[in-house]
Amino acid sequence: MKFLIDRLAFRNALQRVEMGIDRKPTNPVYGGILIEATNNSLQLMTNDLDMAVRYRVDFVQVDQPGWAVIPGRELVDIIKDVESDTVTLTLNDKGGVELQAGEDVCDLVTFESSAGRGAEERSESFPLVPALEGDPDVAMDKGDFLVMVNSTRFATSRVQDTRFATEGVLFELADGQATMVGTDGRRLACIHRPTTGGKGGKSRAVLLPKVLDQIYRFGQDEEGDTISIWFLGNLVGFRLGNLESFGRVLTGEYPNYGNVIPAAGKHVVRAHRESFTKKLRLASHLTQDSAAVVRLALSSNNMEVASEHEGRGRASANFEVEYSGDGLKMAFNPAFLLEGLKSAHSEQIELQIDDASRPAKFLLGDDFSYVVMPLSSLV
Amino acid sequence: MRHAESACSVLHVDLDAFFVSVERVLNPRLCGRPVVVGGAAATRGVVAAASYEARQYGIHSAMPMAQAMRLCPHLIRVPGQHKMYARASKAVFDLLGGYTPVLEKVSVDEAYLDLRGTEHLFGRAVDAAERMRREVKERLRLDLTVGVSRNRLVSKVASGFAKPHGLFDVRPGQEPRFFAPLPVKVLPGIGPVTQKKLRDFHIDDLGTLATTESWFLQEVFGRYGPIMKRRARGEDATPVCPAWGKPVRKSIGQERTFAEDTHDAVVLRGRLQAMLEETCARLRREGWLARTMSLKVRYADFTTETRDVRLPHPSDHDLEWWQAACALLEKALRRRTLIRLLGVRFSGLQRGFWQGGLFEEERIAQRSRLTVLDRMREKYGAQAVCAGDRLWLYKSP
Repeated sequence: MKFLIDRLAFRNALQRVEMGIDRKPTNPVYGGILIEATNNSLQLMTNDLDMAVRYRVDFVQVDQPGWAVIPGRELVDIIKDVESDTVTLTLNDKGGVELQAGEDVCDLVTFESSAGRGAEERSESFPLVPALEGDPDVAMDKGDFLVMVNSTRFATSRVQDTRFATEGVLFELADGQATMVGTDGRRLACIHRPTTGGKGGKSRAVLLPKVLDQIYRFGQDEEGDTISIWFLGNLVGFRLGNLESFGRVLTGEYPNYGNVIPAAGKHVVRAHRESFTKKLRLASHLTQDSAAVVRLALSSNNMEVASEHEGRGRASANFEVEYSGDGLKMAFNPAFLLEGLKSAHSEQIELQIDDASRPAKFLLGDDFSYVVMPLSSLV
Repeated sequence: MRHAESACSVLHVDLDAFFVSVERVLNPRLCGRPVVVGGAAATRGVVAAASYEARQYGIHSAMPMAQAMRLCPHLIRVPGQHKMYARASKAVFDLLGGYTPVLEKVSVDEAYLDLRGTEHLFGRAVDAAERMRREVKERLRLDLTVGVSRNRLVSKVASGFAKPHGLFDVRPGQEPRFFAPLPVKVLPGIGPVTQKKLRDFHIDDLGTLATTESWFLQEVFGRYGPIMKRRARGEDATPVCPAWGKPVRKSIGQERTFAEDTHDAVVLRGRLQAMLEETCARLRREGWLARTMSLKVRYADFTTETRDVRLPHPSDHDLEWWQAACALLEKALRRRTLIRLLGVRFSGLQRGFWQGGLFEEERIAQRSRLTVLDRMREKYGAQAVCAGDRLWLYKSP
């Protein structure tokens, strides 16, 4: 294998597959990048068994086809630091790789390579993933998908729950509509968007957030307006332009989210997102780090956001809202509200409340609901 | 919150042999005789407070009662009346609160006062202190010892120096001279381990400690070394913080010494359950949630072990803590030594609000049940409803 590639194109490609490199590999090959050079294109692949990324780079001068699994982290770091415009990578007969960038030369080992074998022979130790062929199960607007990820990812649990797979994001398909849900058990974000193609039918998978983070990070730069998705048993595959990402499906049970989204609240408040955010941020400066609380008090066309930090002081901020019901008081974790408001799609938001002890529903855009469990007073 | 400045204005007040003094107010026949307050020797009680007459026999607080009785056979023991002590303490601090609002209560019988700004009302701090002592004696018949200086540390050491029923005033600038001859152990924060280390380097008094090079102390004691040196010179910038200026409570807990040392898992689990129930009920009553629980185990050979556990979310619910507590007890039982004392302590306290979950109907329902149980216990007594493990404690012999 021998090829010459533009350094920036190579660096960008490596950035896209970098998240699939296992940082603490049980088998060295999981910490490697499989590079396959074929007719004027290069395919890079990583797989840490939780997620796999495959990326194709065109316009590469391939002098000799072949493949090699190269130590991933080292290759990424080297390509970040070399200064030449192009890079040449050559696989020698002994199974080593020479990387030449201008005057600089680095020799890297390979975990497995086509040296001494045919270029068409496949790797035996690198965990390959299926090709994304045929009609996808679903196709949808790329922008819609990225909005769905951004609207739900923040609400997922950061720790593993013993009961539910809430560290993942639920992705559901039914009746030409895609639904994405993220929850950590105390708040829940749910968003629906239409699909534009694919086989249709019903499908459901709890996705590892890591793969969604990767798609969100690089998806915008990929060519094309459509994302195609394949459900492959214990994997879900996504294709955007030249980028193919695969995520492991979490096997745990996902909570029945439909039960906790209130249908419609007795009390309806309409507020300006920016004003609400500013008042919340102000009040949150005077909350305890370990137990942050803000109290919302609703009266006719007014919302008071109040907080208190024992030993530091208290804050009270008022702003105008659309509300005509009775006086109502609730308490929330300010971080939950601020994170939701940050992801809102519309400037005007709606808050629906049944009573102070029941979950409150925020409508933060078209088909985007955010449910937050209020805090109950102990005294 | 106010920082002590150059003027002599910080007082440390300490009620002498407080529990015993209250008992003597209630029963004057105890005056002039060796008296201790504490549990009976038969129930392995310990001395909670000893009169100065009893102290002459070598009796001190936390000493097993049986040992105290051996040291002084004609010792008079009275059981504690803690509600009465709390009332007396409140009366004293209400009286002292009339001198300054900047009063930081550190225990039932001890407080710091900052008298800055009260000179026009009560004159010099030392005169105000004398007046306080007189007033407490006349109105409540209790002895008060006061240390006066320009910071908390020196006032605290000064009051210890002035005991019993004395007053000691350390003038500004005299702190190093006052501290120099005193042994290092009088400095709060220097315990037996540090003392031993200091002794190894022939540092026995505060004067020597104050003149030891900072780099040397840093090398031996780390970050605390240079701080220790400053404190040995009588320097302390800690302000007097009244209750309204800071969150006071850091932990809530209780501990029990068994009538007989035991390794019986049933008895230990029962006792643990009882302590958890009672302490969690207290957490709920006072509106706290705890992040960490510590289990303290003292073995028959007097070695003490403390183990901590944290829940993913703060809780005041004994059932939520129960499994974690049992796991800690299991570990404690691996040491095949009889257990003398068991204690439970909750820390990482936070106040005010409880975060329910969207998918935790059972947890929310449990919380409602707990509220009902608490009301039942309030009405019919703590043992009216209890967990099964605890019943073993009440079984008939």
